[in-house]
Amino acid sequence: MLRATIFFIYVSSVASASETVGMPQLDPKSWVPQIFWLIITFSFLYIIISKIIFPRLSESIEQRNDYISDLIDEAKKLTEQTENLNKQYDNLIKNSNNQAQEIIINDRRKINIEFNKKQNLLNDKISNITMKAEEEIKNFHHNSIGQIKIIAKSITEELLKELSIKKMIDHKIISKNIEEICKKSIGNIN
Amino acid sequence: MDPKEIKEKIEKMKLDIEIKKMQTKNVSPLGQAMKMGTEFVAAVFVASFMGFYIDKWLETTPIFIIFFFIVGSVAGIFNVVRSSKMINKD
Amino acid sequence: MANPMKQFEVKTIGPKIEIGNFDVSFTNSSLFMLITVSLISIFLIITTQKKSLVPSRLQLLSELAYQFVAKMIAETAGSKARPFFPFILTLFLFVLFCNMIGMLPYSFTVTSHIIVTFALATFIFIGVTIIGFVKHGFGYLKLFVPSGVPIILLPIIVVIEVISYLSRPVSLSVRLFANMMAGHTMLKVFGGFVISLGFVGGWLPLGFSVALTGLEILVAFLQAYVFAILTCIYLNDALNLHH
Repeated sequence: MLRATIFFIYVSSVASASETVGMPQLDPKSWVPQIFWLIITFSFLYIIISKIIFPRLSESIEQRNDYISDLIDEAKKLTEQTENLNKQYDNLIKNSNNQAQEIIINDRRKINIEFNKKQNLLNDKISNITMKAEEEIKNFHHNSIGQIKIIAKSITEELLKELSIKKMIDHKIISKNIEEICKKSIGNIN
Repeated sequence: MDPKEIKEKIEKMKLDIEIKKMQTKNVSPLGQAMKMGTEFVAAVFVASFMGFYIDKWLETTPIFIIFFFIVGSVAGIFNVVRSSKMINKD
Repeated sequence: MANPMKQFEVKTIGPKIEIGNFDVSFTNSSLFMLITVSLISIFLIITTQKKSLVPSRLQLLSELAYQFVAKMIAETAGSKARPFFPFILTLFLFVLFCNMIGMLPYSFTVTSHIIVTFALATFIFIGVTIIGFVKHGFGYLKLFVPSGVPIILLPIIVVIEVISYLSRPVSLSVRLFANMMAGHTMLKVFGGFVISLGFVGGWLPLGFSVALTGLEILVAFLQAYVFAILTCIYLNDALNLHH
């Protein structure tokens, strides 16, 4: 709507103006000098731009573009490098992790084996010692009866001697009695 | 700065450019309408001019001027369609 | 109310110069062409004097213009249009500066004259046509024969295509000229309203003038851009023949 109004105002004003003076643009007298000066000024500008401005601008812009593309290339290279390094680093970590795992497993196995060996050795030693001890005990047990008998015999003999019934000392009877007593007591003990 | 950030920035800039393009497309419907009108009028004008002089040359007024006026209108419509296609393509 | 068309009048400055039978006097139009060209030249030469890797603000401006045009050419005409880069850059800057200088009060808008824009457009049109024929020989005429058209319709289509092709300089020049003239006339009309309505009623057209000035600056840029990009498109047709 606004546009239409503006257009209407424009057309009517131009029309009324053209009626009074006419459009100066349509006066052929002004055409030739305008074309003449247009050719001169435009060619002058064209020569300046094509000979001076264009080479300067294109040079500086190309230079900058080259520089920028160089920088971009460098940045690309660097990113590649960092990516590679990253990969290497990852691999390194993975490998070392694996290695550590392996080492841990191996060590554990070794320790277990060593431990078992030591345990077995210890067990053997312990059983040896106990066996010896048991034997000693047995021996002792065995010997002790004989010794007790001897001691008892000597004690009884001493006793009888003290009691001075020297004549009546009969070794056989004493042994027999001691034997009986021993059997009784030891049987009780055992 | 790390590459991800740069990538994001580039994406953002691309988006901005797209938006700007969309905005400039609708910048001046008046100018476009004006352009279309000129396109049409110019074709009619040129065709009528040709018809007028052919008539003058062959002394067949008003056959050619009418014919060329019609053809010029068609050519004008062609022009308008073509330039509107060009605008839509951008 | 002052005549809004008066600003477009061409006045001779200084003595009358004639070459042969033609009057080529120096006019206000020529003066502003000279101003435009010298402004562009001085600006570009100063800003490109020091070629530093990290550009200064001024250097950045000219590089901005360079890259703007470079992108425009690359997107429309491709790498084959590289040799025409200086021409497109000149064209774009010339039209842009003419439009922008025309926005200053009491100045003259060179591009508001149909003959100037038409001369530029005709030069482009002829140049493009020559480039097309040099590149493709008579194969360039294929431009007028679109593929996939039945034989019966072919003659009329060819006529239409030829008219469409011939209308290029007209539409190119009329678009720029009409935009510039319309804007300046409207500014003048609203300016006149401000004066004639006085202190009481002049505020609304004043606001309108301000808004219009902003719009006109946009249009001045847009029209320079459109002029350059259409040149690129025509160049593309001539360089890479496909239809």
